[in-house]
Amino acid sequence: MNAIELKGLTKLYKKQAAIDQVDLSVEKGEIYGFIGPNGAGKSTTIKAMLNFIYPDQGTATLLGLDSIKDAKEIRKRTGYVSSDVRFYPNMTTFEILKYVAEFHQLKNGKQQIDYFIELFDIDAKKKMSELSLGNKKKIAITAGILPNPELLILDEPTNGLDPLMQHRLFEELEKYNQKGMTIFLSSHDLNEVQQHAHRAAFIREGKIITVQDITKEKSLGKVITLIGEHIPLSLFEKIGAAILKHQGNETRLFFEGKLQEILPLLADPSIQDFTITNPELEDQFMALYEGGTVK
Amino acid sequence: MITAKIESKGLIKGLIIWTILFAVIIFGFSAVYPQMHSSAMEDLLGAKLNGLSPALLKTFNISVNGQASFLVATGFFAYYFQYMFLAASIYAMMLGSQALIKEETDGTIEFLYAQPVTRREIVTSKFVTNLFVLAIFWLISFGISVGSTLIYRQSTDSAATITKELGKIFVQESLILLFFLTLGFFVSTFIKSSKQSTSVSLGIVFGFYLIGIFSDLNDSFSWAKTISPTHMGIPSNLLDKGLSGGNVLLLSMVILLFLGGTYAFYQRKDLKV
Repeated sequence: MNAIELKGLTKLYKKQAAIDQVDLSVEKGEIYGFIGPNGAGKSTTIKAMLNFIYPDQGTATLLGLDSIKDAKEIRKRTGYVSSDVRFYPNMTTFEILKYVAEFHQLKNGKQQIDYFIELFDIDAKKKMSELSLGNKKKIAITAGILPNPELLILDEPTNGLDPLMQHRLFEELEKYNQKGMTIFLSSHDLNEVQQHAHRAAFIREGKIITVQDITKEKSLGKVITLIGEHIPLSLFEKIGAAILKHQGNETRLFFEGKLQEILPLLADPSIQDFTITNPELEDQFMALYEGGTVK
Repeated sequence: MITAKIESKGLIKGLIIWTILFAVIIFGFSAVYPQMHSSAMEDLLGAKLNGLSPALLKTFNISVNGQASFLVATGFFAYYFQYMFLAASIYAMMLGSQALIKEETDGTIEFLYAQPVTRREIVTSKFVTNLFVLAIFWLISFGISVGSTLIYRQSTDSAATITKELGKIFVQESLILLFFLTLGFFVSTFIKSSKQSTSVSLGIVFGFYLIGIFSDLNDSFSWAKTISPTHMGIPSNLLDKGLSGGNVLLLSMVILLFLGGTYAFYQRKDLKV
């Protein structure tokens, strides 16, 4: 059973599809990235999954439960961090977290709250109206993780967080993931998806255009950038390198083989300089969203 | 229960403000009564009121007979309280019409609906909490009304009669307030923003009030009395005749209809987040 299974999920607004026939499978225990520019349909997909809105077509199954019929049971077992964090302005941060603990009937709620207050450096006595976006985000993240859900859905979680808090958040998420939590990470920050996700789906204009296995790319592939003219690219192609981009005197190659195979070719006198890097999702992102194709 | 706790926190401030305003106005009006009761004023008013056309007296719900008479404590209370009741109806309507949409306008529904609650539970908790707040407001208003009327009563006004007659008004009007609360809830499922709540509430309550006035002034329009809850709740009428069985039945049915409609619409609604 998958943690998330979307089949033909479609939502129309004034006959325009905000999401169109979205199919998605997220395995249990995965950190799954969901990438797309603003307005691509990321948040709409999440809202349809969580029954904030009703899809016009298709189904969403979370943890084996129907998103509409079993909405309450899903929310018992799922944490959600919204991209746009808005809380009751007159409540203190502690009150908000206390309510979450009460909603989920957590036995060690106070202890858990104290743990996150310390981890994220939260001022428990401050009213929500007095907090900055980053501090509100910390409360939203804590509220999502606090019940220790089986599935955690994060919509732009790091928006507004400083780098230190981002680091702490992902450290914490990795810990929970190792214990079995499935994490669905919607973001337009390609670096955080690349660093933490196992797979990622790209969405454009409401449609899923590709799903990438990031783990595989991280462990196997390299991007090699060559500077120089008249480089014998056929030799590189012979050993399995794919040309990503060739413009002027710069050529970008993607190579999945052993580095020992390619190193002798880099000694060619036509190559003035070269770099070897891990493949960037950005390469694919730019190709996909600027109308190109994924190689 | 937790949803109800959250809801009540947001309602307390409004409750305090409305209650204090009501108390001040009721005391203010009650303080005028001893002057109205003097024999010179009684003679003057009696002569003047008898000279006015019955239609005009009806429009302003002024009566010169029985407990509803303008010149006895209960009648004087009934006269000025008709306007207070309009305000109470607006409060009930605003409570209802903000209850569901406010969470969407403020964006807090994303927090609430991310918790293990059903939409049905959200409506129920919010309805019960708002009903409770309205009941507290109405009970306090009743206490203040009885208290202030007793304080300023004259030797001819019996304390037992005042308590009983005012009780009659408040009990019957509470059904009408419940009508406005449920109508407000129903409206709350389809208005686009909580900012529309005040204008929609004022429009509906005053609309019903105007229908009531026209139905009094124009005989061919008198059937409209049966569709105007504000007209049904005119205190002097309640003292005279009380709510008819037909009106109680009609109000109860419409209340159930609005409540059922609220659950049905909210269940299928796309939440604005």
